[in-house]
Parts: sequence; structure tokens; C-alpha cells
Amino acid sequence: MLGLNSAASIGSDDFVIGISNFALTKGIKQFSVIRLFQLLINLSRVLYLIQKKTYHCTMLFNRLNIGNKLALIMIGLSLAVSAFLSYLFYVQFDAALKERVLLQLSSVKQLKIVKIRKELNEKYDAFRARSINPNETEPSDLFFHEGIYASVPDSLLGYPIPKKLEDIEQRITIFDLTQHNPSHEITIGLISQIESGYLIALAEEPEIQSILLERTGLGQTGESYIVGSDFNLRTKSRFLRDSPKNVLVKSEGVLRALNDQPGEDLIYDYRGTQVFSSYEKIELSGLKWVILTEINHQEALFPLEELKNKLMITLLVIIFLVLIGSYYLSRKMVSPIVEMEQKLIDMSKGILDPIHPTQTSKDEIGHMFEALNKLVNALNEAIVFAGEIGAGNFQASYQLLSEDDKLGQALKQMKEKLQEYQKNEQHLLLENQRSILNGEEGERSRLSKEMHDGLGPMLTTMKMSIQSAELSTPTKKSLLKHIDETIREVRRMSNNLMPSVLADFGAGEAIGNLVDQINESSDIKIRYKNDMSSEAKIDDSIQITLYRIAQESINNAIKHSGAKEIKLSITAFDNRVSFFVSDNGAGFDPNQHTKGNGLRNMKERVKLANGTLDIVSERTGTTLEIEIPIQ
Amino acid sequence: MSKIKIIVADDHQLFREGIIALLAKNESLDIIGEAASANELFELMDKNVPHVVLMDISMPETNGLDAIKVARDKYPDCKFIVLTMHAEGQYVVKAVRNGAFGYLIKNADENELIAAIEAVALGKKHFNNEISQLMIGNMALEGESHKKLSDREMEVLELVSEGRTTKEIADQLFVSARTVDTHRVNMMKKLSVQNTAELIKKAAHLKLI
Repeated sequence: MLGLNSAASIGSDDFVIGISNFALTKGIKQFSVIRLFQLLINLSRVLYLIQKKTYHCTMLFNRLNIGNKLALIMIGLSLAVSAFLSYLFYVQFDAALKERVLLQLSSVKQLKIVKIRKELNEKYDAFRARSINPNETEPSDLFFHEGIYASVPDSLLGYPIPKKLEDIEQRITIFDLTQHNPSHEITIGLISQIESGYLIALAEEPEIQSILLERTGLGQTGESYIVGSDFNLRTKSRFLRDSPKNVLVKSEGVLRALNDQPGEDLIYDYRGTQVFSSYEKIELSGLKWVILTEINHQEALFPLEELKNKLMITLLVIIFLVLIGSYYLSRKMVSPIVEMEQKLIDMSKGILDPIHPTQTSKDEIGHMFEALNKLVNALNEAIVFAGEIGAGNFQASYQLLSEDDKLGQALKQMKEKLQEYQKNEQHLLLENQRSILNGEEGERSRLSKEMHDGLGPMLTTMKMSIQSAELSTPTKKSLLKHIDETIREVRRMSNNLMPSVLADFGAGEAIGNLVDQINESSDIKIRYKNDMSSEAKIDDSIQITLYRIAQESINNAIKHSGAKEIKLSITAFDNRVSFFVSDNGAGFDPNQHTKGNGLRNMKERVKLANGTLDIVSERTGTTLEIEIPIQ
Repeated sequence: MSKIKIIVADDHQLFREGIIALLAKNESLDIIGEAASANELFELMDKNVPHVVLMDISMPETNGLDAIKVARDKYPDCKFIVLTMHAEGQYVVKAVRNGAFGYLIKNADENELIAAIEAVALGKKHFNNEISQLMIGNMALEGESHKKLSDREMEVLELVSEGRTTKEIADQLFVSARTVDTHRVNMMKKLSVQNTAELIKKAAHLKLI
């Protein structure tokens, strides 16, 4: 920031020098040098202040919002540019104006010189005509006095005649007598040596005064006047009521003109006022005048002042317009940013509504909105995806936005982990159910065995004891009958708990026994086909499952369908056991669990054995197909 | 006639004692030992081969029926009577197959038991009416077959050759349609043919139908 400033200052120094060079070439050296110094001093002051305030300003600037920053920058830049241009224009105009003023003064002065010379020449010519031939010519009425004198008198009509004019021979010498004219008219005297002495003529020159007083092209403060070689004013001043005699004019212009350096410049006149002046010496036959045409600096540069004011107004208008424009523009540019800011704040709070920018643009901001929208959409998709996962829908899929989509990857990983977790959970649940069921079946099996192989033999032993006991025959018979009934009951109970055939000969045989029992004890006709080959090595738990399913399905058919006939088959293949049961009963709605736990138990058991269960139930009957995989 | 030497093999001590007490009354019988398991029985038999063994089925370690199968080859002169609580035909059939000479339910009368022992000791087989029924009932279901195709496959083949559809066959054999298909595929595998037409042709050639 400091470096930039110093660079800028060097730049502006160069620039100022450039301007001053430019001004110098226009011939306004003094003025430009002073201005240059003033400018440099001001500039260094400003730079110092800027340096001092820079840090503070930077802090303040950073604290502004973007809109104000933009506006500030726009205002600053446009101000700098317009101020610079105005200054340039001002300087140019200043130079041009001065040049024009001086040129005008110079031309006015030339015009007056020509007129004055003409006037003087007229007198001169008339005098010459007389001096050549005084006797044959009439005295001219241009002179208020004319006479031929043998010698040069000391004074004539109260006008002193300069002594040094004595050595004037044949030449006509003009001398200035204005100082001695009581009415302050310009008065000249002409003298020439003729045969009979000296011809002397005196003439007043009110014409010259009127020539000088002619103010064409001189404005309000312009004037032309003549200064004699004695530095006294010869003509009337526009500004002084005093007699011109008493006015000493020893200004720079007069000095230079007398030194044969005619020209134009900004000088201080006899009043001490700064004027633009054009000055030149008029020399005619001994008459030595300086004519000056001047105009007040203030008036001459009045257009410049006007311009300055106009420029100031223009500058103000520009500032105003820039202010409005930059406010509007910055608002327009910043409003999407503000919108985006709000959006981002919302997003940080977790609000992820889609964005509809009030302005659509194809610039960076438009692209940012597009990217933001993409982000919002992606986040929403991620949310939906996460929600689906949370709800347990692992079918939900998620398209990674890119290879670096960490969120997506994390979600996918989460899904996989959850899936794995759920799978484990399900597996564990199945295992639990399985172990509960196995425990239950184990317990039944144990109980069944206890009754069958423990209680049974004890009862038979008791029976033997009774047989060999010393008892009356009727008593013995009655006791034996009771014992036999008890044994039968124990066997029945044991069989109900779990038939020993199931463990020893498999489900095929056990179901066969079950079917036989039911066929014997009820009206229903069950037809059974057992295709379980005795070689097939099937896990006990599957045997039990098959047996329980058969029990359950037969039970259901008998209890609920009112079937007259049940067809049942069980077939073992290399990799699975197929269980098929159909009845000609009334059927039921498999989706309604109104039939107690029968169907549910069956489904549960099939599931635990990783099998499949298909039920087709119509009014004419129900078909149940179960397949259970085996190793 | 010498006494019939008997060993009682049963894991229930109380029952063994009961039986022994029962049989001891009969002078023609000589209880030479009792065993709580098949292994104990084999140890006893190594020392003294009995004429008859009363064998329980449900015993720890080796079950009675398997023990009979082993012992039959080793001690061909020894006869086994199964004395068990199991009253299912499957056990009877297996006992007969494994070489048992008699099969009695444990709640049998004293008289029947002795009659059976005596009959078996003479080399006769003893199965009472009830047991015979059980045996026959299960024998009918069994089918000792060493044919290329199983019974069910033969049935399916028969029906296929009659031009029945899978659904019809499934209905008739009350199995699932899938089961019928599996049977069909298995048959084609066994007869190394590619399709049903070839299957029937090959079956006809083999005189299976």
C-alpha cells in the first residue's frame, strides 16, 4: 500500500512536471513554476496524510460490506478520473485563455499604434510641407500655433522648448509637451531648421486620447495608455481622476519596452493591480513613448473562473450520478451475493430448500448459484438416501458426485455397515430363535425319552412285580389292567412329545406313523407318500422341522378346513427336501392369521431352516409346498 | 435238556432286576449275567456265550439294534430277543433285518416272555400277532430295490410316457410340480439323456416301461 502510494506520487510528480513543461512551452513560466510548487507541497501533504491513515483506512475498508466497497471503489475511481480530467482541462484552458488574451491585447495595441502613428504622421507631414516651403504655403490649421523663429526660444505660449533641440539641423524633431499642457491634452511640439531660422509648431492631440480611450476588445477593465520616457503617464487613466502628470508608471512593461523589448506578459501595473499587458515603444523623430494595452488579470481570466465553477458543478453532478449509479450497480451486483450469503447461512442451519435466484446471470455468480444448487440437490439426495437407510430401505442407491465425494462415500459405507449389521442382527435373531426352538425340541426329546425309556420300564417292572406277587387273581387282573393303561398313556404322551422313530428312522417314517394313527382314529383319509430314502443323511433339526410341519399342516387341515382327504408327500433330493400337502377343504386366506399359531409356527420353522413356503388356498382346497435345503 | 443261558442287557437296573427275578423262578433258565450297555454285553459274551440275550433298544452309547447286527456275525449261535418299550413297526423291521429272533414289548406277560425265550433258544423265531402286524405294515412300505430308478421315478416315468403334463402328474402323485420336474431331471441324469423324448426312448429300450 505504501509502495503503491510512493509510486503513485512519483508518477504524479512526473505528470506535474509534464504539465509544467507544457505550460512553460506556452510561455507562462513564472506562473507555472509557482503552481507546480504549490501542487507539489499539497501533494506531499496529502501523501503524508494518506500514509498515516492507510492502515486505519484498510481496517475500515475491510469492515465494509461488499456493496459499499464496490460503491466506494467506483466513486473513488470515477472521482479521481473526473478530477484529473477536469484539472487537465483547466490547465489547458488556462494556458489557451492566457494566450488568447495576450494575443488580443497585442492586436488591440497594434491597432492603436497604427492609428496613433497615422495621427502623428499627419502632423508630421503637414509640418514637413511647411518646413520645406514656408513662404508659399499657408500655415496648417492642425497646429494651434506656428511660427518661424530666428533662434529657439526658451518657451512658447508657456510651453518650454527643450534646449538640446538646437543642434537639430534640417530634420524634424518632435517633442512631447503634454506635461506642460494645463488641460492635460496630449501636446506635441515639432521643430525644424529652415533657411530663415527655426519653424516651430505646437499641436494638441485629443485624437490620440480618443484612440486610446476606445475600448473595443478591452472589456470592463481594459485600457490603453501612453507613458513617456520620463515614466509619467501621458494619457488619461480610466481609473484615476488625477492628472496624468502626477502618475508615475515604472512598471515592468514600460521598462522592457524602453529597453526595446516589446512583448506581452502578466505584470503589475501603476495601480499595483495584476494585469495582462502588451507593451511597445513608439519612436518617431525624437518622440519616445511607450504604449501599453492592459486588461485586469481577474477579468481576463473570468472565463476560467466560470469554467472552474462549471467544472465543479459538473464534478458534483458526476459524483452524484456516480453515487446513484454505483449504489444501484453495487446493489444489483451484490444482491445475488447477499442472497447467496443468506442461502449459505440457511444451509449452515440445515435448511436445504432449492434455490431460485431472483436474477439469472451467466457470470461467475450465476455459476456459483448453479454449483450451490447442485450442492443443495446433492445434499438433499444424500439426505433422502440417509433417510432411506435410516428407515431400513437398503435398496436405496446413491450416485457418487465424484471420486472425492466423501459424504457419499461415508453414506455408502454407512449403508454397507448397517446392512451388514442388520444381516448380522437377523442372523443372530435366527440363531436365537433356532437355539430356542432347538432347546425346546431338545427338552421335548429328553422328556419323551425319560418317559419312554425311564418311566416305561419302571412301570413294566412294577407290572412284573405284580405278576409275581401273592395276590388274589381279580386284584391282580385289575392292577395289571391299570398298569397296562398307564404304560399305554405314558407311551402316548411320549410319542406326542416326540416320537422316538423320528430320531431313529427320520421324519419320513415318523410322519408315516402319525398318518397311520390319524387314519385309524378319525374319519379323515390321509394319503401319504414317503420318498425319504433311508440313505439320505438329514440333520436332526430338519427332521424335526419336517415332522412338526406335517403335524401342523395335518392339524390345520383337520381342524379348520373340514377336508375329507389330505394328500401328503415328502421327497428327499440330493440338495433339498420337498414337502407337499394338499387338502380338499374350504381353504382360507393365507394373509389372515385367524387360524391360531399353526401357520405362523410353520412359517417360522421353515424360515429358521432357510426353506421356502408356498400356500395356494382356494375354496376347493389348500396346497402347501415347502422346500428345505439340505447339505 | 440243559438250562438256557440268558444275559439281560438293559440300561435300567430296576428293570433288569425285575426281569431276573421273574425269570429266576423258572428252573430251565439260567441268568448268567446282566449288562447295562452293549459294551458290557460284549465283555460278558467274550467270557461266556449265552443262548439267548434279552436286548433293550434304547441304551446309552450303542443302541440295541446296532449291537445285534454286530454280535450276530461274531456270535452266530447266540439268539437275540428284543425286549423294548418301542412299539413301532420300524423298530420291528429293523430288528428282524439286523438278525433278531424275537421282538417283545416290555409290558408283555411273564408267560409270553418265557415262551419266546424257549422258542428262540430252539432256533425258532418268535413274533406275536401284534408285532407281526407292525412288521408287515412297515415291510409293505419298504421296497428293497436296486433298480436304476426309484419307485417314485418309475411312477413319474410311467405317467410321462402316457403323455401327462407335469401338473397332472403332480396331482396324481400328490407332490409339487417342482418335485415332478426334479424327478424327471434326475431320471434324465441317471439315464444320460438330454430331453423327455430321449428319456422315454431310452426307458423303452431298457424295458422300464
